[in-house]
Amino acid sequence: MESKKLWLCLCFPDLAIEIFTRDRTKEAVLITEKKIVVFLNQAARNLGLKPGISVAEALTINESVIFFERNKSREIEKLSQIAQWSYRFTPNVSIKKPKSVLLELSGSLKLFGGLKKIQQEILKSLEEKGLSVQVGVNMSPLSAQCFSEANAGTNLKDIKTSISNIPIHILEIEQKIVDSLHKMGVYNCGQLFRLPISDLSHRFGGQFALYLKKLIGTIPDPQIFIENKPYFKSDITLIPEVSDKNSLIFPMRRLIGELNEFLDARKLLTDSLLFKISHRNYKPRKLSVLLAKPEKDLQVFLMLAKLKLEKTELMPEIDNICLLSDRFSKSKNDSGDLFHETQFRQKDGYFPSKAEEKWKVQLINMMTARLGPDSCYTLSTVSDHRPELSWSKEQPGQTNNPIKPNKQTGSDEEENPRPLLLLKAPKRIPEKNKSPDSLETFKIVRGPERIDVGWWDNHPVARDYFIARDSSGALYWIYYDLSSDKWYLHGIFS
Amino acid sequence: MRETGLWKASKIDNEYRQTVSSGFDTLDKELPGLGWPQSGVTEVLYDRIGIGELKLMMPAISHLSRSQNRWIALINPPHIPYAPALEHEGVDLTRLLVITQKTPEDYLWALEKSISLKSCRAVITWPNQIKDAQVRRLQVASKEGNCWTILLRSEKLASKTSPAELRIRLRSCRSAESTNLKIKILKRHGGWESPEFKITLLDKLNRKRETLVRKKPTLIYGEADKKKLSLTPTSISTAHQSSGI
Repeated sequence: MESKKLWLCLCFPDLAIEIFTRDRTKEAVLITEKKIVVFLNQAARNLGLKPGISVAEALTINESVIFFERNKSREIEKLSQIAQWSYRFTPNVSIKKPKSVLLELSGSLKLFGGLKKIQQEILKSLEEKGLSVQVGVNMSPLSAQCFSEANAGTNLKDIKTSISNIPIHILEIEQKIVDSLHKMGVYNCGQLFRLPISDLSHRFGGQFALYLKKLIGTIPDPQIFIENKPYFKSDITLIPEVSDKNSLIFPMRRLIGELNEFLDARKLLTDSLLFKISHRNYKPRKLSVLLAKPEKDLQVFLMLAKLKLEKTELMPEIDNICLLSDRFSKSKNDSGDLFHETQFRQKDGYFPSKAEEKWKVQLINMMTARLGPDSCYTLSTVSDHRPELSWSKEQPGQTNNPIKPNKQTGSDEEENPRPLLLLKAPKRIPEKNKSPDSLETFKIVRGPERIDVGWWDNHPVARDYFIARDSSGALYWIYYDLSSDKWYLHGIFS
Repeated sequence: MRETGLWKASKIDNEYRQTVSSGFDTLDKELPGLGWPQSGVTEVLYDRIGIGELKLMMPAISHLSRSQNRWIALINPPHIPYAPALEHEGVDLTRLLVITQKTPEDYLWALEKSISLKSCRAVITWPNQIKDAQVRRLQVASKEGNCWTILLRSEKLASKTSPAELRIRLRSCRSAESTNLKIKILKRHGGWESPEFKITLLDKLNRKRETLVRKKPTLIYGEADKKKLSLTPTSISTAHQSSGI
């Protein structure tokens, strides 16, 4: 029995509707294809509408119904999202177009505590996602698919007997064959399998016989399993449309919750989230949340998204919100603190370093979320003699270079002190003869220090630097530009 | 009582044991607990930029940056904090965070968050306009976040009251000859205001200069004369300019 596979198929009968109505709406929604209604939800059925009627007919019956043109590519995308999500239960997930996802579960039963538990978990989560689903479990892929479409439940024994009550029109066979079989008085699989397969092969072709053999599992039916591409995309269509930011927080929380599940299942972390907020009449707005360190914490994501939302101008109406994430890194196998979240406050108010690291990252995250990525940076020194080029901005937390020893270039620095504040651009100092009423003058304290470098690239510098004090006692770093014969203020000994 | 930011005399004993030496003996003697506080708002009122108002903090900031894995934040500095000089002061640059923003609302938001989130060991900032109520809020936040908050403000405010728990006035000696800084502690816990006293910030600079002068005095003044170094610093008396707010 070990080698026996166990297949679970999830069939989404209302997928075409539910991609539009995730926020389960009470309003009647119709999906149309070439002006003909092809799918409708329960609310629409209650109004007496049926598939096959035209848009005009539907409007005469009730004019408040909502129409969407069928979007097959979005249906497929949704299926693939579901498949990606199902990856948490088993690595063997396959997409069955147009509306099913197939899972092979024989290897996962023990881990998740049995088939029932897995089923419960799947149903609960899918319900939260606003999807209606029919589940079928059987011993071959095709039979599981039939079971789910017929909503026939679970079978763990012989396939042939289990499907005997399944009507044949559910099988994935040509309508022509179904019609002929109906004429022969064959309506369900039990009747079908009473006929010898070799005869059916003669009558309806080899493909049909092959299908039947796969269905009952006498020949293998290999499946193409999805690759676990780490890519997250999920969206919510808002019905009715919303117009204020606060009503976006709830759908945002749900999307972030899904992302969190996605990350958990794969032991991944992410450092970038992208929300796309759109309305059919406006250009979509993008809201990008960047984190200083990869993270998977729902609360952190939500807090940062809220901060970002506060600072973003949105269009007056919003009908769709989408969350994308595609930059992932492996989560370190962190077994957690033994004294989780316990803060050891020592006598001098010193906290353990793990918590400190978290706080440090949190500050960067919040600043970048609200003020933009350029709003905070750390500094580093660059080995260049030109003062304006001897420092650079660094992304906070990204510098892993070890702490430099305290005094490495001691003698040189002692000789030529540098100011604590540097002007963004050197400022011209007007000379005395141009403003005769000024009485204040500089007095040179130290200098000159000649810096004459950079003639080899495009930023030549030829200057004599002085440290000078003005009559009020403030200390400045000034230079005499050798090429232009002018004096400039460059720094302040703050 | 704690929430109002009020200070009680009964707390003096335990609260002020934990201080950081300023690196200047004369200053340490005047500070409550013989050093800079670990938390709370310290107002530094200075008459003009360039008198050594940052330099005065540097020994303590350098020590804090190396002793704890938390940020030292500079929020809206008026100019570029110059990395080579900071490194020379012994500051661990990987723990020094510069935060800039454009609007006054963002400034106050960033300031309060940096202080209260426990992520910063010390915050140095140059507020242009900040109300007493806001300073009080920062005072409470800094106790909560265990963060030493330094507000660098104009000397003109010395005559006004402020909710900051430590207030220090810095004045230069108003002469091109002197390297001294005149300090007066205007407000401190457990004591009245101090008399004005002097400390020498750039003694190394001076000592070196003397040796230099002795060696080649003619070069220094000769150079300067040749280049007509009689300049007007009127355009650069930019005390208390600050970007943003």
